[in-house]
Amino acid sequence: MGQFLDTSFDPTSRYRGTRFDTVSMEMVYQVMNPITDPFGLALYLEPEFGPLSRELEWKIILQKNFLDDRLIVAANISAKHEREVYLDGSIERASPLDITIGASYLAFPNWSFGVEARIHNEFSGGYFFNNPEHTAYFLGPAIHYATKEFWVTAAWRHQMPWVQTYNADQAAVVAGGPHLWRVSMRATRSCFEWGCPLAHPLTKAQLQVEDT
Amino acid sequence: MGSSACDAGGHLVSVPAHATVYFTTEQVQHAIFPGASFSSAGDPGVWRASTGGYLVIDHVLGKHEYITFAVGINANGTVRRVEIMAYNESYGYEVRNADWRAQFVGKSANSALQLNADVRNISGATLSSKHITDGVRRILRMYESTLKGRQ
Repeated sequence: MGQFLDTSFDPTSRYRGTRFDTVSMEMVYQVMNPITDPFGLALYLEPEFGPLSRELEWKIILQKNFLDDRLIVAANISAKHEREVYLDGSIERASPLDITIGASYLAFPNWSFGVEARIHNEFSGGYFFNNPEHTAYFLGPAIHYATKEFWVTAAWRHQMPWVQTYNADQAAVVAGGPHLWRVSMRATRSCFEWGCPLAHPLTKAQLQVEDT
Repeated sequence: MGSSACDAGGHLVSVPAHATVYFTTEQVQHAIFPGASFSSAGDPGVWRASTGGYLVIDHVLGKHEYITFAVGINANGTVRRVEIMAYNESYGYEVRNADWRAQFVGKSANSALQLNADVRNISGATLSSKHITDGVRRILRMYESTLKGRQ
């Protein structure tokens, strides 16, 4: 909120406002198919533009299938190059880098169970991983139910107590405990997604609810 | 592809509660071997046709649910016809197309039966194409190792 509200705003008071944030476009290109090639590879690019924010996000998406495609192991390497302008005119540049690794097993018709791990690296002061801030580790289960008409995914991730900090400010944040929950990283992250295949006449809707 | 569930809306996997049924067992028997009568070959899902040959019904995994299919095998061990009996996926229904299924006709246990080799893939139905191809290959090898000697 500090990007849009000046220091006179009481953070404990109610706030209501409407503003245009950003517009973005997601592009994915499949280089190798995980079903017919030795492994799957896709490249993802998402530029995002707004009056106060600009961001370029990219991902390298890897997937390997085992056991007649019942067991799927996937890894995403993703980064963002962010620029945000604050009300006081200051500009913040950051470049977080994430490595996410997951495995999912189709145990029964329609039902998959998995586990996901995420390694989050925060860099500040530039677009190209300039000044390392911290590395945080997350681990948790995921469950997925899918039919012809819809799918539902629920996942929960907990921050592991192995955070690494790379400067005095960040070290001070974790001095009281092993988590970075008072910085940008929350201790836990859960998500619930519901979606419909676009081919289905009732779809084009996707609801995502996240809670922290 | 496998993005993270929490971060990117990428989704991993998941078979039939309410499959769309195109053929019952009796219907598929008479579609593939018109005029024949059938007797059990001793294994579940395997029938001997009175006119010669076998009919085998099996299922393979689609993306979320099982695909039930039937393979008619001539008396000489070649594929007579493949039919999709039940299919219930959001994408990939093209494997029901007659042109695609016709690729299996005449194949035998000696055929490679590999997707993108002697069986062409269907874009958007890759998983179904691959698993049905694998399923037909398994049935032909089972015929060669087990059923052939019973004739």
